[in-house]
Amino acid sequence: MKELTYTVAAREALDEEMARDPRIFVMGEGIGKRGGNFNTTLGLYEKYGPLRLCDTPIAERGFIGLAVGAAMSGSIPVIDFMMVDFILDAMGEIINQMAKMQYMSSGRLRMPMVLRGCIGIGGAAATHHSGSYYSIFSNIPGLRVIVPTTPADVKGMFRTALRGNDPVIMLEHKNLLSNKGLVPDEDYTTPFGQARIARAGKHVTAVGVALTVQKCVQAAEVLAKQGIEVEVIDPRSTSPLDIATILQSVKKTGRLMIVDDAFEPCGFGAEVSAQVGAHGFDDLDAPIRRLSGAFAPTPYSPPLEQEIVPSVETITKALYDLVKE
Amino acid sequence: MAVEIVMPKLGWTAEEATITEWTKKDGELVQRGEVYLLVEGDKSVNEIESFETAILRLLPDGPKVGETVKIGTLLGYFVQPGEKPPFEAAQAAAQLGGQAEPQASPSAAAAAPSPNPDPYAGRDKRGPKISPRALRIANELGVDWQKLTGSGTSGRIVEADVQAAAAAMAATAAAKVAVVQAPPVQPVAAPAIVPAPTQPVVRATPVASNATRKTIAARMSQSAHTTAPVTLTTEVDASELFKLRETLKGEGAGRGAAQLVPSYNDLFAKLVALALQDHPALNASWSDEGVIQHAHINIGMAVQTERGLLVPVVRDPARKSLPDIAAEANRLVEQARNATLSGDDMRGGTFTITNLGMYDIDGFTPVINLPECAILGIGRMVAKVVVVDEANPRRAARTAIRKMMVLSLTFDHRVVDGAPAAQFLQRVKKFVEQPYIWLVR
Repeated sequence: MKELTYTVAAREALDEEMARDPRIFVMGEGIGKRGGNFNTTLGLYEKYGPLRLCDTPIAERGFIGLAVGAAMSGSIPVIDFMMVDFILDAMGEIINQMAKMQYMSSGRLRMPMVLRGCIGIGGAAATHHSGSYYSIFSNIPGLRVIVPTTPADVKGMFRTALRGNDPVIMLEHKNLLSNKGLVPDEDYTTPFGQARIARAGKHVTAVGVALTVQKCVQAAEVLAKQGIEVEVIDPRSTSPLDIATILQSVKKTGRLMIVDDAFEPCGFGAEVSAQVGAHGFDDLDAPIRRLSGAFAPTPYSPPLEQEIVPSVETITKALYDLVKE
Repeated sequence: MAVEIVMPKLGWTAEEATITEWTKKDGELVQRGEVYLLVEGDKSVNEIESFETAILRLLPDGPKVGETVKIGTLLGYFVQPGEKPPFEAAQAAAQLGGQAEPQASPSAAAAAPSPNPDPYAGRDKRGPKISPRALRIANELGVDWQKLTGSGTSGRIVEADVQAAAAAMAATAAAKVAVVQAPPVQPVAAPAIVPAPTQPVVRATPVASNATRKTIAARMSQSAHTTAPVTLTTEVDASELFKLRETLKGEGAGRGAAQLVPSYNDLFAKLVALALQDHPALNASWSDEGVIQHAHINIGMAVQTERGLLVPVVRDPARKSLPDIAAEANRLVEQARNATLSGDDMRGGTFTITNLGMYDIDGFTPVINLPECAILGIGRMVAKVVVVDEANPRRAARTAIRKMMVLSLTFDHRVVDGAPAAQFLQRVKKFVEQPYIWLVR
């Protein structure tokens, strides 16, 4: 075990997999010599050269189309978006080609590729650099959507993505990038569709995504002092979603809150809530609650920005109220 | 149109059933698919769902909760909003007729006294709110939640309220028992005379029998009175079976809790099913037309529960893998113990196994589980000194310590004769002693 930051752990996965598998190459803006705006590819250009660390112009639709073709013909492209907001410029390629081609070819074509980028509200990045679009992508069959929260998970899940045959969208919350954590030394992978219990408890279940997992754990620590044991669940991937672990937790606690920075309508929380309502109805001791980001474009002003997302304080209060309900 | 509600038939042989609870009240709107009645019969409590969205109307003088009635007995009606059930329609007609007012207007008719003029009135009287979890637990623990008050900020009755009420009920019951069992005051006799000691009057107290107990009683006496039971016993060397299970245990431990290690009962379910394939005469039932030989082999497993003996059925173990059988049996036993076993899980058995080994029993005479024709009793596994290789011409006879076990087969001599039954038991013995014979099938 060694202690690494989230960014370094992800970069190690990429580096080790590129050394192992010559089919892997990276494309994106500023990921070559520059090493990526978030240091995602720092030092790799020197190791693997310009062919495998390919800088692109600002033309998302073009280079995703190119990567889809490369994946279909035997390469494993990794597209580094910095900010996932700009992935939206290539939605047609992603939904109509990348997600569907394996089905359209009856499985004769494979689509091993990874689109990665940062999500989340924070750092006064304003509304074009603050999106979290896992709900949109989780709505599309054929895509795998992963949201790792710890250095160990990002390494293991990035490996799984690079060794699989399906298109994977890997979303990294920008406020998690400098978090440190222990990462195993051995060659391990972390499966998709398997939630992690970030903290065990028995009075209420809190399901977070990305940064809100960390906030829920902090809220749980506050509530533990008052004798309230919160079970915090980190789904790790929103598609496939491990609803079984959530249901099992609700069976124990009877109360569920989904905490999510992203917009509430038709979102991740709605999906979890509907599934628990359908399969865990008789275990519920109180209505399912959601705590989400405001349904509004993200403001630039730092105080306003913090106001529109769930904070440790608002999560603590909401969980307390739910337990007392 | 009013639809009759009658006591449903819950099993092949069911003739009567007990009303456990009306989960909906008289006059309440029942949605299609909602459970409105719980009925106990054939060893399990069954939830009865509505096929239509309609208003439940109970027969005023109909059977009460706890009463056992014949299948088909009228319990009430489902009516549409505004419609009267037949028992009220007749009453209303009689009242109208008696009122000798030919011009009785619809409003006058509506004003006529009726026990429940507004069919939706019941909805307002639904009483306190309760969470789905609390409702489920209240039903499980038999708590009358209508009388509770919710402790939460929403006023809703939650699990904690039901648990508290259940604890209070238990405490009251315990207090009552304590009063009843207070020992009578013994008169102190003078030591000179030695009187007969005053015996406290011990009266036989009837233990409340549930429907499960009654079903067991009926089925046991039916079996004892109609079958011609014969029990064969044989001692088998289970050392290889023991070794097999120990190996699986070691293997299972490596895989973690997800992999269930097949129990001896699971192993027996499989090997007995395979032995029955070779001896179909034992996989049969007696009927008025004669012997019926079953095409399928389903093995019942006798399970002791708090409510009494239950026999859940493992489907077609001959064709299932041991891990699948272990998983199925594990689920069935769990459900049998927490009283959630469905009637379907107890039907369709063609042969039963019963194991008293854990109580240090060797041989016994199990009672045939009708309509099956035989049952295998499994005794304890115990290390004994035995003579081995006695019949092996190439080796000298010697003594060894082996894991021995007694098998008791009770069969119905109406259906099958002694020799074929003995051959079947011999087959089972061989399968226990040399498990690889059936493991490679």
